[in-house]
Amino acid sequence: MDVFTLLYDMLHLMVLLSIVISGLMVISMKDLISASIASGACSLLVSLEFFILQAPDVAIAEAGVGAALTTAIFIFAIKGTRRREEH
Amino acid sequence: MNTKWPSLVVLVAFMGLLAFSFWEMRDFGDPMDEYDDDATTDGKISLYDRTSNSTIEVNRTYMDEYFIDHSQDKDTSTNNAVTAIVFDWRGFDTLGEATVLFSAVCGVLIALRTAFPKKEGPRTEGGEK
Amino acid sequence: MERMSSVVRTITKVAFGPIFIFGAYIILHGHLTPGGGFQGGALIASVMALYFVAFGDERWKKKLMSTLESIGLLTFASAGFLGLTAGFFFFNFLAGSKIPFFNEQIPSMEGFVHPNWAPLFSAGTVSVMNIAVGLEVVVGITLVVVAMGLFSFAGKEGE
Repeated sequence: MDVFTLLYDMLHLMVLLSIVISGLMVISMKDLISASIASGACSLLVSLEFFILQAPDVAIAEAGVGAALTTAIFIFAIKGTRRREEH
Repeated sequence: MNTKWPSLVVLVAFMGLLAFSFWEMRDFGDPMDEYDDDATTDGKISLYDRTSNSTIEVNRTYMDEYFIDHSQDKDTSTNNAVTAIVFDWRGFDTLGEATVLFSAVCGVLIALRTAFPKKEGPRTEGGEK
Repeated sequence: MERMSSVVRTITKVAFGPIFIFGAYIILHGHLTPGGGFQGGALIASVMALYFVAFGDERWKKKLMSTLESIGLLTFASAGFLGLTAGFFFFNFLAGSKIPFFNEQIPSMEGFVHPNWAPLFSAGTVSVMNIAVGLEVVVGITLVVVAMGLFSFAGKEGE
């Protein structure tokens, strides 16, 4: 275990924790546009995790579809309906 | 209040299943070496082992050996083995995938057919031409 | 739908070209480097969505784009069916054949320092299918995003 391996593991752990935190933010927010942005951030972090696990083609697809197109379609759908979640 | 307990039980059971499959998982990049001796061949793959900081050699399965040896020769002459598998040996699967995307786009365009603005000019009777 | 501010429009003008060229590179080099038709197509579709959001253009040629999408899927399926003439379904009949279309062989790796070198016009039907799937994904996802955007913003200009 040298310094490089330790830094690599710490980066891996930070990315995984950020995925969990952004996922919790997605399900806890009442403003739906903020939740869409948090979902895009979660997709971007998942794509970084794919790149760390040496699957670069899946990482490109996840970054393009998950982070850009899904967020755009969600925001268009929210614009067509209403913005805040109601109980 | 009553509806929380079944969902909690399901959540704990699912987390237990996930943790069980995580601990049963083989090492990163290791093909099924110690699990099935009949599926492995004599060829070796050298892997970088992070914990011991050295290179170890593991066996290859028959399918790995076929894909690694034949993706660059006259079969496909493709340098990227993943693309060779996806578009050549598993091409039928990719055809289905493209068909799914095509039908999804068709469904969206049928459901939202009033979205695109109509062109100016005289409109012909009996639908668009 | 209305245009966005001039900061967004200027940055879109600057970023449109590099992202578009990167997506085309990923599609064309699908048989050499990681990626392929779907990944590069999603990248180009995302930059088209960026253009749509920033400029609010409503003049999209729906019929032309639908035709291009059908052409992409038909090219893919016919490249699979043409393999029946040489053997079986999805047979790579172009790789290593006499037809001068993506038929270059990967040279022997003896004496090369870098072992992953390969010519661009290799891989036969794999390259053709990459380009076909890329065309289909670009046009299809762009159509979906534009249709949803125009439908959501219709009649909401005054708000």
